[in-house]
Amino acid sequence: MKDLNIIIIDHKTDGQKAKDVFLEINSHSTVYLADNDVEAWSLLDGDTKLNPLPKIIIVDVNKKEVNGMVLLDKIRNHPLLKSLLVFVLSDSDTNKEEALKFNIAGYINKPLDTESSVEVYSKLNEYLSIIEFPRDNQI
Amino acid sequence: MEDLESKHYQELMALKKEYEEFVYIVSHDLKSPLRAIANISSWIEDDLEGNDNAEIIANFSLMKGRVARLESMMNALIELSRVNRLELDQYEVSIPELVKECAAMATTTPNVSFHYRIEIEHEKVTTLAKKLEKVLFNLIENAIQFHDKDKINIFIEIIETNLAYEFAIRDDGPGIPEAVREKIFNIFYTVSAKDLVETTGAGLTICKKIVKLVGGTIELVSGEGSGTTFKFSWPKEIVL
Amino acid sequence: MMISKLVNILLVEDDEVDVMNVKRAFSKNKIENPLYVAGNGVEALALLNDPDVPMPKIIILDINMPKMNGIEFLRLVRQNDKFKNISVFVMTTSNEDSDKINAYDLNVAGYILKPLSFEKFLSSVSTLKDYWKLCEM
Repeated sequence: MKDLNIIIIDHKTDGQKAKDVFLEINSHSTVYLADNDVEAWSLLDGDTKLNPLPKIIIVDVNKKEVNGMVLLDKIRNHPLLKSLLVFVLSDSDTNKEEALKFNIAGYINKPLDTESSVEVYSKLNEYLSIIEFPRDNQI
Repeated sequence: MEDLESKHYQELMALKKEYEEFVYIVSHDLKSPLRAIANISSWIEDDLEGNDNAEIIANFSLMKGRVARLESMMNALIELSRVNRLELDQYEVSIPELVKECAAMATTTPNVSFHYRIEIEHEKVTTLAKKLEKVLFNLIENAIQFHDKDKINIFIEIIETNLAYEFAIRDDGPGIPEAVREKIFNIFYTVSAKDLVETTGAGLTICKKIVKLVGGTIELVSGEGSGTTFKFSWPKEIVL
Repeated sequence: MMISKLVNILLVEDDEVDVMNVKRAFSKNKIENPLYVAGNGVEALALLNDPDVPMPKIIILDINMPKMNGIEFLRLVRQNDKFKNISVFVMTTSNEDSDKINAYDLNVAGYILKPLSFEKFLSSVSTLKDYWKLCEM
C-alpha cells in the first residue's frame, strides 16, 4: 500500500467518516481533516502548516460552511499550492461547471452511506496508487 | 610531482563520471526497444489464444522470461550507476529500528525468523540512511532468496566500535561454495543458474559499491558449519 | 446519476508501438470511447482547433515527442480557455522529477509511468477506466 498524504476538507462528521473509511482501505496513508477553507488554509500555508505538505486534496464544494470553491480559487492562485491534486466531492451538479474550470483531477459524487464510501475511496486509492508524484523536497 | 598527481586525479574523476553516465544512458535508452519487444510478444501471445501449438506458446513464455530478465539487469545497472549520485541525504535514524524495518520489508513469506544480537550504545546516528537501508535489504533478501530449507533463520548481529557499526548477517542456508567465493561480488554473477532462482545477481555488487562509498568494508566470511555470513562495517562519520 | 455517454479521448503519442498498446489495452478493457491519435504536440493542437473534430474530454499525453513535446503542448493548452475542462493524464517513460513537477504545475489529473510489461499496462488502464467511471467522465 502506497503511503499517501491527504487532506480532506469537509464538515466534521462527513470528514471523519471519510477519513476512517480511507484509513481502513489504506492504513499506510496519512489523512488530515479540515472543517472549512480557513482551517484548510492554515494547514496549507498558515500557522499549522503541514510538513511534508500533502499533495492530495479532497474537498466538498457544495456544503455552504465548507466554502470549497473559495478554497479552490485560493489554491490555484498560490504559486506553491497551485499544483496540488484536487478531487472534488459533491452531492449535486450545482458547482460542477465552476469547479471543472479549476483543472481539478476529478469530480466525484459524494458517497452517502458507508458501502458507497468504501467503493468510492477504494477506487480512488487504487488510482492514487498507480500515479506518480514528484519527490517531497522538490514540490 | 604534485602536478602529475593532480592531473591523474582529475583524469580518474573524469573517467568515473563518464563511466557512470555511460551506464545510465545505456540502460535508459535500451529500455525503449526492450519495452516494445515485451509488448509485441504479449500481443502475439494474446492473438495466439486458442491455438493449440503448445511449443509456440511455450517459446513465447521463454522469450518473455528473457525479456523480463533483461529488464531487471538494466534496472540493476541503472541502480548501480546511481549509487554515487542519488539519495545522498544524511539524516538521523535508529539503527535497530532500521534493521528491523529492512527485515520486515524483505520478508514475503511467513517461514522466516530473525534473531538479533544488538550491542550498541548509540542507537541513533545521523548517516546515509537510504544507503544503509539498501545494503541491509539486499543482504537480507539474498539470505532469504537463496535459502534451501522450509524454515529460514537469519541472525543479525550489530556491534559498535569507536568509529563504526559492525554488522553481521548470517543465515542457515546452503552456504556459498569455496570455488566461487571470489566471484560473488561481480555484477550479474549468480551461484545457481538464473533459471533456478530469478535474480539479477547485482545485489552484492550494489552493496559493495555503497559500502565503499561510505568508507566501510564488506566481506563474505567463510563460517564454521553450513550457512553464509556477510560482515560489513559502516563508519559513524561519513565524508563523501 | 450514471450518464453513460462516451466522451472523446485524444492520445498524443509518437511511438507506434505505444499507440497500439493503448488501442489494445482499451479494447481488452472494453473502453469503447472514440479515440483520436496525434503524433506530437503540433498535430494535437491542430486536432483540438479543428472545428470538424469533436472536443475530447480526456487527453492521454506522452512527454518525449518530436516537434513539440508534451509539456510544451500542455502549456499551450492550459493557456486557452476553450480547453479548460479537459482532463489530462500523462503517460510516459520519463521518471524525472522535473517532468512530474512541470506536469502537475500544469494541473494534470495524473502522471503514469509506462510499465515494461503489457500485462501491467492492462492493469493500469483498467484502474484508469474505473477512475473515469468514478468521475463520470
